[in-house]
Amino acid sequence: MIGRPTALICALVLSSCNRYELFRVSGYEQQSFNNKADVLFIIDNSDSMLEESASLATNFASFIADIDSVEQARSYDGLADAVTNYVDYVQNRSGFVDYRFSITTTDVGTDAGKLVGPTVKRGDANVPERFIENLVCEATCFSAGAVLPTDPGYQCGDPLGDTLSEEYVQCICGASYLGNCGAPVEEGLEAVFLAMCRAVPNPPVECFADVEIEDADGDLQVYPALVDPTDTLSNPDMLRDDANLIVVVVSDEGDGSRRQLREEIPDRYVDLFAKFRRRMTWVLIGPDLEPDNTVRCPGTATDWGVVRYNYMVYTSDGRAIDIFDGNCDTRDFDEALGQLGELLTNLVTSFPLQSVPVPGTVIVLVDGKRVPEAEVSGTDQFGIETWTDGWSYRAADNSVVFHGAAIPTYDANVEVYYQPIDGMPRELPF
Amino acid sequence: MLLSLLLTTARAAEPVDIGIIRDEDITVVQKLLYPKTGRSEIGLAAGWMPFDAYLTTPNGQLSYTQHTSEVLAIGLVAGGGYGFKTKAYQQMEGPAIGVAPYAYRYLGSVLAGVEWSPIYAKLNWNGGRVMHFDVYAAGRGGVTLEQSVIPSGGTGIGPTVSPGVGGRFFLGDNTALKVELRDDLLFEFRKLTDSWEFKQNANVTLGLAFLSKAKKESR
Repeated sequence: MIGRPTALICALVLSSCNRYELFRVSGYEQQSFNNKADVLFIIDNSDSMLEESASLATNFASFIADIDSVEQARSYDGLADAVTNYVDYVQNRSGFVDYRFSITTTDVGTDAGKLVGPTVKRGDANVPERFIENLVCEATCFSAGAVLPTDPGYQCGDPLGDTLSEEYVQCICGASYLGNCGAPVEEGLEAVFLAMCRAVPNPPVECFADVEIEDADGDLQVYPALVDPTDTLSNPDMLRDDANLIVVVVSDEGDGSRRQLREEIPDRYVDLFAKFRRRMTWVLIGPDLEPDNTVRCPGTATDWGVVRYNYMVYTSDGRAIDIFDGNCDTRDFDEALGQLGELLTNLVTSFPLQSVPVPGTVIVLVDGKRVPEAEVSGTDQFGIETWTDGWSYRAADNSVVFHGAAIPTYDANVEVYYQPIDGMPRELPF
Repeated sequence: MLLSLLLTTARAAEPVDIGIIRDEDITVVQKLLYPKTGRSEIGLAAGWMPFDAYLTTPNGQLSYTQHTSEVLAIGLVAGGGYGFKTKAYQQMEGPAIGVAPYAYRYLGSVLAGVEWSPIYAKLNWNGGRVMHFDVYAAGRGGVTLEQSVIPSGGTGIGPTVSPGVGGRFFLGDNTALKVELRDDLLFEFRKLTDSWEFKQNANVTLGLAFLSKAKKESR
């Protein structure tokens, strides 16, 4: 018979716990992906933009149809449909982008960031028609000399075809559709800022403050505030707390926003946007830049103004889409909207971590395969680091950021293991 | 003459005092039905490492033992297995907790050492069959191959010391049921934390041992 001390020693030896460091696991399953997209279109409504607005309008219906195609084909009867829908959800996330589309213009003096028309939401009836009506009737400049093609056979209520005809515009906007022409100075960044000021319950104080800035001669220029506290939540449906904000600037000009004087890097606006604590992704459908940061197609667009938009695009992993074709004519917006659709279905490039990781302990897996750590490969035209394909740790927001071909697809499973520098924040249940 | 005869008769009738037989004077010699000296033994065993909170490890062990005497043997044990996450581990790494222990799972080991088998006995099983068995203590040393459960967290070979106890229950002249409890004590380098850590793999094995034929004179 084994004596009591011997039994105790045996029990201690066998049951003593192996010592394991505890690592955090972030991004478990696909829950980190957020399919809510609040899309804010900033439309340049100067008189040079009629063709571009028309192209945007005529292509928007097919863009929405592509996004909605999975949803419309779905039925909801019984368990079998539920299983089918779940499989669709896993395999085709783009069919489940929970979008909202809002429009304002670059004409800050008139609209001051106020949305033109109501926000159009997924699930609304006639999404394309309502968006096109907002775009054409409220954000498109029809100057007195504007000539629209005619379509005598068009009946009110027919869908928009390949061209924006005078009859169609009269049907949806009324006979007096002329006008809506914005200021010649396009202030896209200011318009976004003011629109956001109107969309949140507690805007930053800068929303209601006069803008004071020294001009090139050193004189102080004062711009009176364009919104006041009574405008709070005057864009009520534009932003949701947990959604990604995608800003789509459509303009053939650069940015001329008032808070910065001919500066390429819009650092003041970057700081202002940061106050809203929103994940923002920028899309520019605008003039293209040459490698030396000069505008490719000659026109009235300033180099520095276009660089500003490109800076926002680049720093937010967005898309810059040339508004002109190879001959510097207005391009077909079908491809441009296709790229926007891709962006909507692949939004997440950074994954916030719950704790600060110990350097060297981070392991990143996408669909079970290890992703290599990216290395700095150089700097771009803005002086910002460029990376090889892979991931990097960004201390500013304590997140893992994917670069290049390593950016996970929408249905990917991302796992990030790391040892937290401050230990485990709570007691474990074991 | 008569006197002489009487004296002789009297001696024969007296009891002979041989003293008191004490317990320690009695020696019971168990007949050694299954001798081991000079025999070699090959063992196949299935094992399980059940004592780790985060990993449960089924494994298989292959052994070769050479019995140099009835109480001493030298041997080699090689094994392989795979440590699976326990429910506790799975629950921890789930979204509700989001924690993954940096555990290392057993993949394989090679150990060599000695067995000391001072006990040979028999027992009566259920009032019927009499079973002969021995009990041994083992001391072995070698290496263990382990792998991080966190993917790409590293693989390492750690020096290992393995004490154990076990027994053979002889089923026939050349076959025995072998039970062993051993505790592999190892040091291993863990890549992500850049540290050497102590670990133990307590392993319970059950299998069959096949012994070579015994020499006739040893029976």
